[in-house]
Amino acid sequence: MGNHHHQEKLPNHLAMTEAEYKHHKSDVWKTTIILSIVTIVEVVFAIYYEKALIPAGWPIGALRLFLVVASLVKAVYIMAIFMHVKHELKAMILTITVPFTLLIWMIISFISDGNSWNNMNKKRFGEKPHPSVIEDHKGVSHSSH
Amino acid sequence: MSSSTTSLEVSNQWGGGNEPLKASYGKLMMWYFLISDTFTFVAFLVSYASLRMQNSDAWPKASEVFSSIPIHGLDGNKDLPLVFVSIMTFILIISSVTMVRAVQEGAMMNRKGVINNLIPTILFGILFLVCQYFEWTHLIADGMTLTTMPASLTGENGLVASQFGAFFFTITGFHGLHVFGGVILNLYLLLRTAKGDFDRLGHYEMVEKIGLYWHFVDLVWVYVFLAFYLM
Repeated sequence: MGNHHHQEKLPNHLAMTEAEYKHHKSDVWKTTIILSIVTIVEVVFAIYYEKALIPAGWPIGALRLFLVVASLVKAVYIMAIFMHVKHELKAMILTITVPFTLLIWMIISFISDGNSWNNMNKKRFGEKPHPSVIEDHKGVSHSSH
Repeated sequence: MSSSTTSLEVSNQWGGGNEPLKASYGKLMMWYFLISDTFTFVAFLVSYASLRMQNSDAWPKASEVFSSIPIHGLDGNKDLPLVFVSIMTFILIISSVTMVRAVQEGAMMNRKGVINNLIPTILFGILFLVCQYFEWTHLIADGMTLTTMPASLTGENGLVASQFGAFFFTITGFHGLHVFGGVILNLYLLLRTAKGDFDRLGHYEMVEKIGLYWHFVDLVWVYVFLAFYLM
């Protein structure tokens, strides 16, 4: 198989044809534009939503859902194009992405745990925030009632 | 080829011969590291999300925490929410673009192209850290620490979650540490490229491996940005 004399050059696994190089390069510019546009839309929409739509009674959840989806789009583009995952073998793509599915349960379980605490606190302390979690800016704990 | 390796007969299942995933040992290990690092960052961010869920009313609004340009003399206008952090985000995106360009030039064995793209990558990385320095010192001067919050951010009921500072400083600090590490790695890369090490070796795979790390830092910022500045 391969020669392993140290003075001999190793093969360039990353080698691309001129056409592939041009194609990858244009992919990078496209991704740059997409990332920039999504970021600008996220920031402008988040500020507009908070200033104009929240007072008009729109739910904060809709904004959050939009922001999560937009961030996922950015993550997919960074991984696929910048991190070159799109051009890996299928087995390699699975090796990288399958472990991430564990995170789905991690996020669901911890967020629903936080929500459940919120409900318990409201039952126990009324609408006031839980005293053990909240302090005023001087760092003095508030009593529960 | 020694017989002990061929006896594994993995090539039938994977079709990649000695490199079943068509990735070198180093690249594979970089990916394993990044996957484990993803879990660390998600654990941080999820703990923040979970605590925020517990008391949805007491958390400060991002547009109020980050309401101005955090540089002394420029911080007079308090109605520029998220402007500075958007600039920081673009700095990281651009540095990621120049990094991926360096990887591509490396694949084409173009030493000059690699150098020309690594230098801006490093400079933008340093610029990001400088921005973070301004952001941190401004918040600390306002009175935000790991356990306290500025008086200006106290909510309607006179309460504010003091944990915001703890989460903000530890998570953006951990991310900043990654950026700092990336700058060091890129400097090392620039030095070895300039010396012609990779031309002698025959490939620029080191640029690709460190590039993966650098893009990961950008990827993490997408979620740090989401958690602290947008949500």
